[in-house]
Amino acid sequence: MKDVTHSETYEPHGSSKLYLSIFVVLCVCTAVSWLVDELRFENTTLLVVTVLAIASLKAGFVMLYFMHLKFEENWKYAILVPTIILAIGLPLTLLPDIGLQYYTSVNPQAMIVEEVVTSETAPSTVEQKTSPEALDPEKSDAPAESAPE
Amino acid sequence: MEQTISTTPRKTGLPITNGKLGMWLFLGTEIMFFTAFIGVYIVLRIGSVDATGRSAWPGPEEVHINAAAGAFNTFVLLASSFLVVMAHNAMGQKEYGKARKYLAFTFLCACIFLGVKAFEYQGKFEHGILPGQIPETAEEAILKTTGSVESILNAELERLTTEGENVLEKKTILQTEELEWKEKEPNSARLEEIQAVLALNIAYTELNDSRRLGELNLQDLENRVEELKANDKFGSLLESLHVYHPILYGNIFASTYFLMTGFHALHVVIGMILFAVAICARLSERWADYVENSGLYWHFVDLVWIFLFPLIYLIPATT
Repeated sequence: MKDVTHSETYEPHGSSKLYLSIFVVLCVCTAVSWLVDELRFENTTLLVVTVLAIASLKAGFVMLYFMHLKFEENWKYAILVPTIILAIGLPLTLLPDIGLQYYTSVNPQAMIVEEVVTSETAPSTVEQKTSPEALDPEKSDAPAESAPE
Repeated sequence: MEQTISTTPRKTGLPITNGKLGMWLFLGTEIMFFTAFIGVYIVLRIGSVDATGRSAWPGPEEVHINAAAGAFNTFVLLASSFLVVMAHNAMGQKEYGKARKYLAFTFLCACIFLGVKAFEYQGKFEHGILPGQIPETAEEAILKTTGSVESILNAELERLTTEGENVLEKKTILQTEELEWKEKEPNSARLEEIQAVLALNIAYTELNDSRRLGELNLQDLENRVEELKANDKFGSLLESLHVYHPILYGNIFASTYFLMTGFHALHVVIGMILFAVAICARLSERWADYVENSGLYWHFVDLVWIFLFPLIYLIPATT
């Protein structure tokens, strides 16, 4: 068996200049995702997709250049492909039961029924859900206007 | 008999060192370790809905999530990743002094990261954002608030008298003592303290009774607590008291948050130990593999944070 030592495997994969430019790109990506969050998009799906796409892009840069995967031979697939399939598979298998319920949840938190959502003066749904009035079953007949800010 | 030995050995196995292969296999298991946590977090978060099916995940203000702190920590980890790869580069070019300097700066970045993390944890501890400690309904919030009045009362009783096996006995002892002091020295500081705690006891009993009878809602409780705090006898004892507000799904948030960030922070600490060993050693060619492998590990720690940052800090609660 070939005795592999560092002196044989070390090849200058990248220069300091390359690493620095990758670092700058990563910082710009972070700044962009933070800015996107600060903009408070109305369309939250767009926001989720944007920030996760930027995260994947950053992860890609780190793996390809900092972890030198771009320069490695095919063994990288043998290690990474199975783990990534399992990693994606786990949430997908859990999702239908816990995440995507076609039935009504029976957990105590979800039993609290919102009142007067049709009222135009009702506060935003988030406030209403977490406001004391909305959570207190005894006050469930209270008008929405009385909910504290 | 002559035996011919080939000077070029047959090429078998992988073109990488055993150490590097081991590190990559370990990172493979680490990917699955962290995606188990991250996947569970995503699934639980999607599943945390109210009766109407809308997401009821707690908002950043409620659970004290600061996106700026997260962004800063992301930057710190990215910088440290860059420094590690520069250290690896310097090792390859046999510039060991430079490599040590880069590793030292990486270590510093890890310290800054953990410092910011500790600051964030501190804020959560102070506000009681802990698994199993967060009231999720008004009833629980009221119970927790009256409970903290009780623990302030009990601590004060404990301070004033060491006699008596339980709270009830202590109260009786203090009541007797109050009468004695009234006769002896009606203006003493001790008497004032005893009278304050006994008055607080009466106020607490009243508050707890109306809670038990279900006459208390959060707004009433808030007014009552304001009144108690303004009381000139025992108001000063209640300075730290605040009224708890329910946070729907706060506990599952706290569990997943501390699980993910806690294990990540543990990985940061392990990385720091790896770097500390290299910084303290006399770096030479023999250390090139060590620096490369601990660098790979560190980039993985960075990778995990790259995903934790948007998932915890950026994606808003209303999705």
